[in-house]
Amino acid sequence: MPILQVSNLKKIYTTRFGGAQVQALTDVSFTVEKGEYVAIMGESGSGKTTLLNILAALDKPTSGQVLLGGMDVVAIRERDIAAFRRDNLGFVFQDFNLLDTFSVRDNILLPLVLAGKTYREMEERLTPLAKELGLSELLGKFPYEISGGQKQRTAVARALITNPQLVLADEPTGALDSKSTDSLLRLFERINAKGQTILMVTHSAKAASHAGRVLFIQDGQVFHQLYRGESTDAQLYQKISDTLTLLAAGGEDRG
Amino acid sequence: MGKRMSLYPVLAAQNLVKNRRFYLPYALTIVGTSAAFYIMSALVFDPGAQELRGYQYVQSMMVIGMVVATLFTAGILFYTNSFLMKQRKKELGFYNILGMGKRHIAAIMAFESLFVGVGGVVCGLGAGLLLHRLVTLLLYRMVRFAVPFGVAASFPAFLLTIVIFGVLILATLLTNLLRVRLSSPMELLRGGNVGEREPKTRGLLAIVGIVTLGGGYYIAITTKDAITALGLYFVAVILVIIGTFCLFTAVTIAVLKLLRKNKRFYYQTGHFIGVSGMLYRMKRNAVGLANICILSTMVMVMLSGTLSLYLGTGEIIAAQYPADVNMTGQYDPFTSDEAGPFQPQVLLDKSVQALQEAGYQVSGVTSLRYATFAALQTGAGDFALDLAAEAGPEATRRTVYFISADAYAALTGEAAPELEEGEALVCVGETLPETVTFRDGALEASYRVTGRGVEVPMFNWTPDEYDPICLVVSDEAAVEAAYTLQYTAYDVPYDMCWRGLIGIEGGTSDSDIDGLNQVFWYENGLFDGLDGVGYYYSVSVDLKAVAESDGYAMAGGFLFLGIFLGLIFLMATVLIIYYKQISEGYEDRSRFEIMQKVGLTRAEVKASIRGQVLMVFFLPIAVAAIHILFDFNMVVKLLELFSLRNVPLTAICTLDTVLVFFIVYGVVYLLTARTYYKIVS
Repeated sequence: MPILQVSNLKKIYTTRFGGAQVQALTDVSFTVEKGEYVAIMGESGSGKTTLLNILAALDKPTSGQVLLGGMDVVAIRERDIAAFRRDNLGFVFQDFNLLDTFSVRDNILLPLVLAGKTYREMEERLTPLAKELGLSELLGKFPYEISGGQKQRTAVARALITNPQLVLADEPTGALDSKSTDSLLRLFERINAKGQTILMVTHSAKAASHAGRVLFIQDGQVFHQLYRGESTDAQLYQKISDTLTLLAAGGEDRG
Repeated sequence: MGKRMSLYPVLAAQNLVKNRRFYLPYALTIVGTSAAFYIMSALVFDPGAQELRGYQYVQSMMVIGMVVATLFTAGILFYTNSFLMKQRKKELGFYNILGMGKRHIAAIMAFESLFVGVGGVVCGLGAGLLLHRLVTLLLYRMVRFAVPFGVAASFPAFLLTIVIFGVLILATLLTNLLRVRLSSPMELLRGGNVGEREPKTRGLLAIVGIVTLGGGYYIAITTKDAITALGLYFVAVILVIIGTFCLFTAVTIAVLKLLRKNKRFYYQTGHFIGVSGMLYRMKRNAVGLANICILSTMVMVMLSGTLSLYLGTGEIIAAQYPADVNMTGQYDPFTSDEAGPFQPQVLLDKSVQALQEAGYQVSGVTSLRYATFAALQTGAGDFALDLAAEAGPEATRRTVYFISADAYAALTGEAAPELEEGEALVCVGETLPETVTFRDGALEASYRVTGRGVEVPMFNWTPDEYDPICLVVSDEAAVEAAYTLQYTAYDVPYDMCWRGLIGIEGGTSDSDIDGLNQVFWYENGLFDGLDGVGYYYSVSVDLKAVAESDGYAMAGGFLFLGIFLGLIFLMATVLIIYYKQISEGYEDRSRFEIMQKVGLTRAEVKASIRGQVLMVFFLPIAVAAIHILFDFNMVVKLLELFSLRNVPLTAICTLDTVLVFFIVYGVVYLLTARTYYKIVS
């Protein structure tokens, strides 16, 4: 059974005064299997952020269904949503979203504290994770004292510490320099290799070229998808570039 | 060129409208303080009031009020101004980037100051003119002056207000310009978003805070008498102010950090967000909160003190001046003067006769005498008539009165107690042990205390600051014996006192003062060529009407000043709270969003933040209430300087003041909290 099943998702925004309607998602369907690493690509305005918000239960679709681990995300009651998000999803954002009043340690532990875990359990989970992400030395520091790459690794640790079913990453490399980008993408590959399912939204071909499968969204629809198969990162990068060129040229290849 | 020049005022006006959330309260503050200032100075300059009796009290208090108000207004204006500039840094940086020179920005800022300043002062003067009459009515009612028919606008007050506020606003503008000059556009642009460092634990400051606060409190609760209280009051106040600042800036942070060190406690949902949130909130707000705390304490102390003084005035006067005309004589009953000893009864009869001749209906006459001296209390029942010797740390100075059983009966209306020679009844002061001894070297007099009588208010206040004791003894001979004892010890030949109390039918008031003085003191009055009454050291005549007129002028003036300054302080408190709510709101907005993304429900976030904000805003008045609690003893002692010894009255006034203040503060909090919630959600 797939871990994430998205079927016929549609989202229409109505402007405040009931005038113009904007169709952000027309009809999106796809599935993600357990252990997959999927990248979703698209231009600004293609609807990928809307999609991610719906997956994260931050927004409700106009119609359609999202099943995460067999559970209907859309049907979750308002007051259970926070707990659902905490237990099943891990988030990595473009602008890190670390709380500057917390140390690196406390930022990572935040979801566990919110879930009411004991301090001992927190420590047991934190120690190996921090070691793996190279954060052991930084735990006592504060966000303003560390680099962008380190901040993003902290955010990844925060996303992973709850052992979520799915990690959602929204332009995770958007605010990083190329060196930090490389290191973050390798990190994603490594955690994916250990069995973590990742869904990443990006418009960077380079970031997408590390994924196992790439979905292209245009005008609120899944327009095309690429499987890595046996290709190397470089080959996949080439394929992605070709697809993007095609998309930019007008997308006659639809269907 | 002309077109460009007219751009600045337009831009300035737009800015003010756009930033009205910040500027409206600022402008209102200028309106409020300038109105208050105008009214106060108009009261000082009021030419019609100069002739009113006791007005000099009121006038000097208003001058104090003006000085305090000016200093204070300067403080608030600079504070709010620096807050406004901090909020607007980004906007000014943006102008700079868009190609506006600093000179142009300065021009815009000058216009802004001009608009706010002129608008504020004009409205303030308008409000002042309108309220002047109302406030005058209130003040005159309080100080019991006859209410005047018309209250004219005061030109000098007008001018003074304009000059003082002009200078203040100009000064704030100059600081702003200096601030803009010294910063680069990038700095301006980044403005508030500079990464916030974690507050450092300042151990030394925390210790200083605990020591100064403890010291201030210690002084306040251990002060035993009024003179010490007066001398140490400002020391205690300054210690507490320093302590309060340290408490908010260092002690709170030290405590929060200790809490954070305790992992079991810290890593729990509620504590985790609360403790770390409070840590930063305290860092940002410590100084503002300490200010709120100190201002609130001042308001409450001022109001409760002046209120109890005002309410106690009637009682104080009744104790000091039991009758409409109060005669006091000091004399030596054993004088060897050729005129013979003083004849109080003759003087009293002559006085009554003189009053009746002047057309006054005398309604009651009391005559009594008492011996009085100062003594050092060295034990519960041991008194030394030697003020210098044996002054151990336990010894306290007391004022002792002796009256006869008959005088006691006359003063209280009780039956004269049956007292043998050598027996005494306590009627003022603490309950004494069975034997009371007065000693001067080898000489001593002992009394067997038979019990407690009814309180005699006349002896329960003292013109000096020492706690009084009054003993009722068997007869006049026993009173004379007490006089002889002090004469031997101190060699003071006049501490036998006589009081003649004359009541006047229908009471007396302000309008009788002149007539009564005429009877006694003026040309052809009783004392003009008085003879046949024997030799006396001094005789004074005190009129209750004078005491009331002066007493209410002073107490009413104090209360008025207390209320007036209290309102200004309250205005400042409200303003600080309001700006704190805004800045907290902007700070919290992004935090609010992140926490929701990480898995906190909206309700949880809201509850947590509400808890923290409540704590931040109620910590200052909680601490202020504790300050008041410790200060109470000091206030009671200080009020003794004004002869007010009614502790329950002071307690009730303090309690009520605190209660009312808490309610007002709560309302202000709720109103400003709406701004906060509007910003975060």
